Amino acid sequence: MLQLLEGIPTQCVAKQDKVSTGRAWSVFLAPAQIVKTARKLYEAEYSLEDVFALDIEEGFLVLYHFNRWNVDERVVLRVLISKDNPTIPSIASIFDGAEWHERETRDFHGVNFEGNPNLVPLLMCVEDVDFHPLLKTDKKRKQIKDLLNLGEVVSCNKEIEALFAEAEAEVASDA
Amino acid sequence: MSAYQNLEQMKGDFYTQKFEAGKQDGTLIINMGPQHPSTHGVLRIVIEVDGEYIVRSEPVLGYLHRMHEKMGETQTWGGFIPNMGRVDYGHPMAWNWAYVGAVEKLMGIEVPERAEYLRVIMTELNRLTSHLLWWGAYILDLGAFTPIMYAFDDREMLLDILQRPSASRLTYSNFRVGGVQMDLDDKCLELIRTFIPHFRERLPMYHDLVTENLILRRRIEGVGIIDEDMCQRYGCTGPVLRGAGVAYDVRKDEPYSIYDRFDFEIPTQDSACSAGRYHVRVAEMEQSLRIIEQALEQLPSAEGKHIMDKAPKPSMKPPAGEAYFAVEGGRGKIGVYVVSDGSKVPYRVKLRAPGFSNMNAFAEAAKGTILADAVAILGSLDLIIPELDR
Amino acid sequence: MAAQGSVVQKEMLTAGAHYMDPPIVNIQLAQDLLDVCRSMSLWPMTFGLACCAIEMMATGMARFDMARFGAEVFRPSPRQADVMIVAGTVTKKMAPAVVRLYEQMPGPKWVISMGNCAISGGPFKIKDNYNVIEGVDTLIPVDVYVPGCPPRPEGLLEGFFQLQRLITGKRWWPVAAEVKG
Repeated sequence: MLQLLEGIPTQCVAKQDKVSTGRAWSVFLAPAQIVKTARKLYEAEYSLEDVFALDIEEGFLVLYHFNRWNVDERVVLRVLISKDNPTIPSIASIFDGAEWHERETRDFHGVNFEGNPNLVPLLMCVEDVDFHPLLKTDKKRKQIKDLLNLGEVVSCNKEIEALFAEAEAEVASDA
Repeated sequence: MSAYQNLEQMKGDFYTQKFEAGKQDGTLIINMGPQHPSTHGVLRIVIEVDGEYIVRSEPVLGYLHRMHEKMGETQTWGGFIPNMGRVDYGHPMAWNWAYVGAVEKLMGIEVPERAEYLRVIMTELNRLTSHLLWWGAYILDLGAFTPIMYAFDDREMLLDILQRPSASRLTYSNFRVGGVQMDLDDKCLELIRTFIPHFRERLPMYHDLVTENLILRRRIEGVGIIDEDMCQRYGCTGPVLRGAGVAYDVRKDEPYSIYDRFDFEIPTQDSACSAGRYHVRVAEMEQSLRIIEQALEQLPSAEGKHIMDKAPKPSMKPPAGEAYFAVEGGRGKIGVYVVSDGSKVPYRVKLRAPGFSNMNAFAEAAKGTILADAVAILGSLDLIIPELDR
Repeated sequence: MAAQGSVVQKEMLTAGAHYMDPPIVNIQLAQDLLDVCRSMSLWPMTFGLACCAIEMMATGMARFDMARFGAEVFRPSPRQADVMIVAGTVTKKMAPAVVRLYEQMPGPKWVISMGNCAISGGPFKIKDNYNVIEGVDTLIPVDVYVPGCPPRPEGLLEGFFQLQRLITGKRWWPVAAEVKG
């Protein structure tokens, strides 16, 4: 996995506990890197499982799950995008299956996928094109550090560390 | 009174109009569905045909979008389980298991051993009903009415067995976080033991009746090629992937629960066509019987062991975090991803439906085939529409 | 557009599209006779929407054998059917299609609303409902309701008996005995 990511500027790479999360790797990426990473994963015989978004206070966290057929090594790519401009490049040119997943994410959260060949409502009615059912109310929305764990960090830049910083301090004080 | 007063509306709707944009000269755009007997429900496909040949096609989903992911964010953790029985009515036990397994991962719960065996037995029996339903309906789609009568005959026997521990004929939701709701009683175990040899006898008859039939073979062999590369690009799993020659089965490759204790094979076919997928499913039924047989042998006794021993209360509050759990369903890899913020209600539940990805490959597979082949391809993908639309 | 009281806001049935001409021979006895004939050979439409469709199929199969009661000819086309079994959840996107199918059926026609979803939205009638029609009777007139999630095949058969009673004014089949234990 680490070899695979060589040459891609990642924001954070972390090992995850397979028993408790069901995944091997978690990688934070900048929106611009997602297409390049997807191509590398395609070359390494990974197949796409799903694409979806999480509505959190910091913006939208778009998640991509990949897995391989011969080795069980599930990878999750996470891309944090802002609420003001929820746009991310589409990977439908590499994984054709992503087209529908991205359209679904557009339906549910209003995330725009640039370069998707057919970004029209998939599950929702055409009249409801601007209604996104899975957006949270301000009261229910949580911060990323309240929801996710970083896992066993291999490399991480300051921005992502800052997102999780407080939570780790709390854990330390509990201990 | 004229029914044609809304001429604008009659011309077609958004999807047809959008599709018409790239239309070639001399071709015809037709709608298959949302009410079409071979789409197994309410799937709609816009197809451009040149004579009898499909130039391009686009499935239109969402006619049965039942807001499962929205409900995941409004129901309690325990209250979401009945939804799992309704996502995919073909193989609801696997969906139950995927969701319950994800929550168990999140909470770090270990399931009592007897409950694990009960889960395996019930899921495999349910896989048989799922494949029988597919088998009957597929042959019906292709124009033969009789086989579905045989399939439902055996399926009714299975439903009689399954309704004893689940109190339901179709939309099972008897899995609980940390166990299963009801035990299999002695009568039920006896019914299963008599069913296995009965079904073993019936399987060769199925082959004699249908598999070797020349008309069927002509209609499905070499039709609708979905090869390994396509599977990778679209994320197809289950019998579609195994029909393309890849021996990938979540039960073997990502073993969950106690599946590593059983001796069974993963049937594969190299042809990558509809016939390949057909043979894989029929062979899988035999393997499911083997698993059930072994599970019955190994089943620990019920004395002093409770199947709901370690189950938390229905108003459980899993710790904040995330978990992904994948199981092998009748149609492929079912994945459930849950995020908890430590409250009684899930923060996000993402359901990864295998049919969604399999259906995605349809447009490419159907290109260049004739219209009647489209039905053969659709059936071979084993679609359950609520699962596609969720 | 946010979720409001009802998911579908406008009336979808076209006025007069399900209008029937008065019979040419309008004699009560002839009508009664025709009603008996109609009720004993109902042609349902193959219109499966969701889970209930599988139970509808099971009702038509050998074990429950709907053919005994004259209703086994499932027609895929609404033009050839006179009973519409709405078997499953009707969503906002599907609603216009349901109405159109109903209007395409020749009269006299009846509707059986099978399962909780078709009756009231069933398990999907939630606070934040944005896509499920809460009851198909908000779209088209319904004659018989068969509750259950999904109803057992016996339930659907009972629904057909009720429909036959509705058409002829008489129950034709014995009431099932209660099973103890």
